[in-house]
Formats: sequence, structure tokens, C-alpha cells
Amino acid sequence: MSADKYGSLRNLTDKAKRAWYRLSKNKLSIVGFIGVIVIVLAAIFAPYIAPYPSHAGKVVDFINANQPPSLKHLCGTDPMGRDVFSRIIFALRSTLLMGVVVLSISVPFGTTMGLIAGYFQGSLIDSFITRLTDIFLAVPPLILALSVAALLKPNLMNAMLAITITWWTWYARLAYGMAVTLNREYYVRSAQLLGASWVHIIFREMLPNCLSPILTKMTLDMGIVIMTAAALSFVGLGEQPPTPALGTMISDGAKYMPTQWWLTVFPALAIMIIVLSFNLLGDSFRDLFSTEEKQ
Amino acid sequence: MNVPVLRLSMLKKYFPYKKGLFVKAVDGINLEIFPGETLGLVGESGSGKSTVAYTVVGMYAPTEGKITYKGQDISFPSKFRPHEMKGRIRIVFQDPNSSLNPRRTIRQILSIPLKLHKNNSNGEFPSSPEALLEEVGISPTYVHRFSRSLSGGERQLVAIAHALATDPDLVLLDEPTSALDVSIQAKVINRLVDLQERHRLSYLFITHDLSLMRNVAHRVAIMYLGKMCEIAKTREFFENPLHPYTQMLLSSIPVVTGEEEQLKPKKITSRGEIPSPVNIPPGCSFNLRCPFAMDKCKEVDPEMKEFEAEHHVRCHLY
Amino acid sequence: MNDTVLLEVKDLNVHYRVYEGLLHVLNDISFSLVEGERLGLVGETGCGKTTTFRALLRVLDSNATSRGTILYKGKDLSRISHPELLNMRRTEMSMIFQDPTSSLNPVFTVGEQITSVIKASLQARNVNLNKNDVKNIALKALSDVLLPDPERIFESYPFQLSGGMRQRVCIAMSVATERKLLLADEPGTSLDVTIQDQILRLLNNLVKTTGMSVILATHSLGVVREATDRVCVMYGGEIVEIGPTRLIFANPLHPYTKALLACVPKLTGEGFAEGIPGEMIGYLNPPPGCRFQPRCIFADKGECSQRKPELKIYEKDHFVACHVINPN
Repeated sequence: MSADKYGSLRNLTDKAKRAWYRLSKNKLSIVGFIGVIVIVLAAIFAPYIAPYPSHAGKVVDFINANQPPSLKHLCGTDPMGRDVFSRIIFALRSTLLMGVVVLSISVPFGTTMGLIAGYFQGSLIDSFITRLTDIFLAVPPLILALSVAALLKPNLMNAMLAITITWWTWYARLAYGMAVTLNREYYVRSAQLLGASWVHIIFREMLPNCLSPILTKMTLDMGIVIMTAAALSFVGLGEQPPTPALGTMISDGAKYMPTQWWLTVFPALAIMIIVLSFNLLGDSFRDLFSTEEKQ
Repeated sequence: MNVPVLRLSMLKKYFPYKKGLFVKAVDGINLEIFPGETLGLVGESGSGKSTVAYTVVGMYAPTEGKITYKGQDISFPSKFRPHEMKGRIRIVFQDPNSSLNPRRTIRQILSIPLKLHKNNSNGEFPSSPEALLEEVGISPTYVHRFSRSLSGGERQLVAIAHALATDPDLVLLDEPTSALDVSIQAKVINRLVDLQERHRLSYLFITHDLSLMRNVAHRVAIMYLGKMCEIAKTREFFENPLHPYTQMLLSSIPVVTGEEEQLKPKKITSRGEIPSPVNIPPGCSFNLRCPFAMDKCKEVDPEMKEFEAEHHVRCHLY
Repeated sequence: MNDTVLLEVKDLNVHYRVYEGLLHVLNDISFSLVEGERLGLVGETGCGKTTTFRALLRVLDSNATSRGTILYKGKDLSRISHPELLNMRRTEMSMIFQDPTSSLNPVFTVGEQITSVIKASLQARNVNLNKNDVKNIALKALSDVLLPDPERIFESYPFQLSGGMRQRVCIAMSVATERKLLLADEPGTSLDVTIQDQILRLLNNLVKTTGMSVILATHSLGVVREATDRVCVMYGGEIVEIGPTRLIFANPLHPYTKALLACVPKLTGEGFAEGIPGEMIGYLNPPPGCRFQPRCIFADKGECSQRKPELKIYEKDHFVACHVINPN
């Protein structure tokens, strides 16, 4: 084996190749993977993909209002004459943004808290963090989100805040359990015996070993966060009109069921496809990581 | 003039079990290790040999007794010991698979002790991960690898390199080769002996493999249920085993040549199970399995006596 | 031990499909076993002992393919139907595994586990017994393996027992109903040496009293010497030497056997051998010739690396696969 500075790079590409090999064995994983990529790309390039990009904003076209799905409007038009398909594509943005923001705040925070509590198991810090986690876990996320929205202005930012406040606790729980198990590993004890600081042990020794379940949960959580966000926008606490949001579109369209079914069905279908894709991807991550350990 | 590197005086380690009950893992051990020597510690499961090592290295606080390092009292867990001490006594664990972090490269693993204890090294000691790997006989290109792509023997050698990184005086080896094949074991042991000579290291070598012990240790001590039964120079220990437990153990090991067969004590069929360390029988803890048990053995626990020069045994027969 | 051949394995090949390609593990393994014989499979980690056992019981991993003939009492195990195979596993052959802790289900009592095995075995033989009789069979099996207080063990959970006791429970499960063949995979390795001694004597006793055959896989040459009648030495998925135990130890012929014996630390205190240079070959692209050649100090670069040595008879019953050793 040639002495190489590129050893670490080689490690990564090799890992990626092996991961793909294992992932590709399961057809559903590929479906999930492709689904997520399509959704993400559609959200990013929405202005270029949507047939009527302006319809995501303040547009009124009463002549074409309430049209059923046709070649001109793939998912029909809404009572304001806006193209439902384009609005769905733009709605993907706030949907994904919600998931990304909530998770990128709650996961690091929750994981850190959980690891610290688990590492210092039995101490005051552990009790404090665990009790805090218990308190937040006792409140259903939707109820808390509603309360927060009642106190603050209803908009996307506050909705994200509301969900983030409860979401970190699940990761704290997960990380706590892992930390308690990892405490017994010989390499952790070895680092303690050497006099390494707790910061080093938690972030350098333990954290890399926790990534698999956390990554898996994150992917599966995308689906749940998105559904929670849709629920919030369904009751009007989220992205405000005229910016499209999937939940809002469903609630607006509910009045017109069943005659103008396309107003509700297509946004709901969109949510289903998004959640399904992330779930399939999350499942495949879980399989990937468990076989990795088997090897 | 020879100051022992390590001295244990009546070391005890009890673990609370249920209300008022204790697991007496280590129950009064006395021993000394001198510079450059390998002391072998032999015993079966429940004997307490690993607990001794863990207490010495500082994972546990002793319940009673003293641990002295070159005269300095270190009878407390490692987090209360001076930072420099943490590099002087190191331990190599039994399972090479879990002693190395599977998510870190070899370089990252070896950098930690080097960084934390760089003041210990006097300049001529290997001070980089690559140099450490060379010291134990592994190619320096392995620094980029993860432990899972290494074989069992290589992992154990990395663990040894990790232990040596702080230029220790005493290395505790807890069954370092038990998980390895016999041909790999030979390589690792040869390397250990070589390193001992080069750096004048002392080893506390723990194993249940008596044939291995015969060729590695200068002196051997045997433990049963937390107490020491016999301690002697290696040759004496094997050619003239005094304690019935020693004889029982020696007579059960499978050997491969006729000459070894001759050397084994007459077959003392091992009987019974090893009692759990929670329920230690009164008197001599071995009396339930001992073929020579007398009435006295059921009541009075024998003391360690010097039978011959440097050959101590704890048994009423002597 | 009589002369009826119980098991005959001919040209057994197993390969695994992995990310990098094909791992050619077992390479034309052939051996036979007579009734009442104790056969040892000795070799280091990765040499294919466990794979051989799995191939015999047909429980290989899903990414493995096997070829070759496995004749058990004349029937080819690789061609029989699934129900027949199940029947075989319930009545004729059984296996004890290396780690007794993970072979027993922690959420069921010993009694529940052993009675379910007995029931399956009896059903396969079309025998119907009531609960009490099954329990009695179980208790007898537990006392046959020298477990103290079988009633208490029957009611216990595996975690309440020591390692030696668990291993004995596994043996009891395997031999509770009469078996012809027992495959023992490193039965004493995770146990204390005094307990291992008891377990091996127990197995020897079972062979003597019931006439069953045992194939014992281990990496310990000492165990092989004390507990087997014949030995196969395996290296790199091949059998390199096979013969009566006594002969193999008195006169080891294959360079690997010799090197292995030299590496074992001796009670006589001679110090350590150097170990065997090099590493086991990868199974991905095994050399066409002898698999031990890269590490063999006697190897002749030409023939040894090009042609695979066949097992040839050297002295009575003693076969060696090596180009350098010439049968006289």
C-alpha cells in the first residue's frame, strides 16, 4: 500500500462505493433515494421547473379559476386561477426548509445534551438534563407549537421555533442511551485513564460512534417534521398567504371537496410522496448502518 | 537497592452487591514488581486478576490496602492522580476489537497519548504515530487505516503501541493474546519481550494460559477467588507446584508433546464449579474443591508462608 | 468405533459473494468419518472450520454457494429435499457453538428451550410423548452432562448459570435425543481450563457410551491431542494433512503442521518460536498452487506456486498434501 497523503480521501470514496453497493441491493432504497433527490432539486430549481412561476405569488386569473387537471394545468387551478402544480413545487421550498432548519438546530443541541448527560451519568448534570428532557417530552409537539403560535405572530419562523423547542428532546434521549453504553467501551476508559478532557471524550470518541442511529433518525424525522409543519399550516400557523404551503393548500381546498377534488388531493399526494421518500431513505440508512457493523 | 516499580499491600476491592453483601473480587493481595521483570498473574474466572489490574491502573478505587509506585502512594483512582502518573502505568486490554475506537484512524488513536503526555518523552522515545508503529513492528502506512481493516494481531500491536506512547514504566497486560491465534500470539509475545528489553519495562502479565506463562514470566502468582494461593519464580512454580489449586490447574491443561505430559502433576481431576465470589465458603476458599481438604481447612483461612527461598504458598498442608 | 462410514465429504467447495468479488473459501475439502469416531478439525481463525460445519448442516449465509458431495449414510445432503433436511437436523446431527452465551435464548428458561428441542426431535421420529415424559428426558439429559441439581437448572434462565454450565446445557440439548453426529465448534474455548477439561471428558464419555461420532473444530492443538482419534489440519480453506492423532503428533509432516506445533508455547519452557512469517492469503484471488506456499520455508517456488498439491498417503492412514514431502 503506497504511503499516501490521500489515504483519508481514499477512505471516503471507498466507503461511499461500498455504501452504494449495499444500498442498491434493495430496490425500495433506490426509490427513496431518487425520490429525495428529485424533491430537493425541484425545490431548489422551482422558478425554472414550475410552468407558471408567478402563480406562487400575488396573481389572480379568474378566467382560469377552478379548472380541473388538464395538459395546460397538470393539477388544475385553484379558485384564484393559480396553477396548483406550480404552487406545489414552490411549496416544497418552505416544506423542506422547515425540516432542514428544525433538524439542524434540534439535532446538534439535543445530541450534545444527551451525550453530556450520559457521560456524566449519575451526577447532578445528568439529573438536570434528564429532567429537562422529561419536561419537554411530556408536551405533545403540536400542542406546544399551537401555544407558541398563540403567543407570537403566526409565521414560518415562529412555527419552526415552536417545533424545534420540542424536537431536541428525542435526540437527547437517543444520545443519552448511546453514551451510557459507550461509557463502558475500552477505548473510552482508556482515554479517561490517560487524562483526556470530557470535551475530547464526548466529541472525539463517543460522537463518531453515535452517528449512525442519529443520521437514520434524522432522515426518518424529516417526514414527521414535514407532517407536523403541514398540520401547523393547516390551522393557519405557518407560512402565510400568498406564499404557498402544502398544509394551507389542503385546508383551503377542503371547503371545495368533493367537486374540486384536485385542490386537496394533489397537495396531500405531494406530502405523501415526500414523507414516503424520506422514510424509505431512512430505512435504507438503518439497514446500511447495521450491516456495516456486522462486517 | 532494587526499588519495586509497584507494590501492593493487602489490596482489597469489594463491590457492593445487595443489601450488606459484597463481591470480594480482590481480598488482600500482596505483591511486588521490579524494574525489567515480568510478573505473571494466573487464575480462572472470578479469581480477581483483572480487577487487580484495573485497580492498579486507576479504574477503581481500592476498598482497602495500598498501591505504591516507586515509593509513591497512588491508592486512588486515576482521576485523582497527578497527570504525569497517568502515563507511567498503562494497560493493554484483552479484546483488541473494542480497545480501539472503530471510528478513528490509527493516527488519531495514537495521537491522543502522544499529545497528552508529550512532556514525558525524553526525546529518544518514538514521538509520532508512524514511529510508534515501527517500534511495534507494523508498517507506518497503517496510520490512515481504521482498526476494522486490521487483523487481530495487528490491532493488538496497535494497542501496545498506544500503551507505549507515553513512555511508561509498568504495562499491565490483561490477557493480551487470548483472542489471537497461536501463530500470531508468538509474534506479539516476541515483540513484547523485545520491547521490554529495549525500554526496561515491567509487565504485569495476566493470562489463564499456563503454557504461555511458562515462557513469558520471570515470576508467577496464582489467584483464586480474590486471594493469592502461591507465588514463586517461574521454574520453581512449574516444576514444584505446592498449592493443590496450582496442581489442579496444571494437570488440566492440554499439552502437545510427550515431554510436557511428563512434567504435568499427576492428574488431579478438577471437580466442581468455581463458586461465585459472593458466596465464598468459610475457611480456605478452595476447600470445597480441594482433594486434600482437612477439617482445619473448613474453618481457618491459611496465611501466606514462605516455603522456600522466594516461593510462598498459602495452604494448611505446609 | 467400528468401520461403518457415517459421513463422507467429497470435493466440497464454498464461496461467498462480497463487494470486492468472490471469496473462494473452501477448496475441494474431502474427508470421511466412521461411526463412533472423534475427528478433529484444527486450524487457525479464518481457515474455514466453521464454514465447513455450516456447509454440512446446510446453514450457510445467503451470499454463499456450495458445491460438492456430502454423503451422510449414503444420502447426499446437498440434494435432499428441505423436509428431509429438517428431519436430519432434528434426529441425526446437531451442533454446539463456540459461545454458549449467545446460543441460548435469554428470555426463555433452560427447561423451555430444551423441551422444545426434544419435542421437535420426537415429532420428527413420529413419537408422541406427554409433557411429563418430555420433561423427564430433559432432566436425564441434564444429569448426563454432569450438571448438579438438574431440577433447579431446568427452572433457571441462562443468565443465572455460569459459562461452563451453559455449555453443558447446550450439549444436553444436542444429545437429549439420540444423535449420530455431533459437530462441536470450539466447545471449550470461552471457558476456564478446568471446566474445559470436564467438558472434553464429558464428550469423550458420550462417544464411548452412545457410540455417536463427533467432529471437533478447534484452534488448540492441545485439545485435539487429548480429545480426538483422527485429525484434519486445515489451512486457507484446504485440508493439508489428515491422519490418526497419535501419528500426526509423533510425526508431523506438512510444513504448516510443523510450524503450528512449533508456535505453541510449551510447558518445558523453551521460549517462543518466531511465529509463521507473512499472513494468511486473501480468499479473493487465491493462488493456483499451494495456499501455504507464500509463507512456507520449504517451498519450491516453481511447482508449489503453480500446482495445488493433492492429499497423498505417506504412511498408514496418514495423508499429506505437499509437493516437498515425498511419500516414501
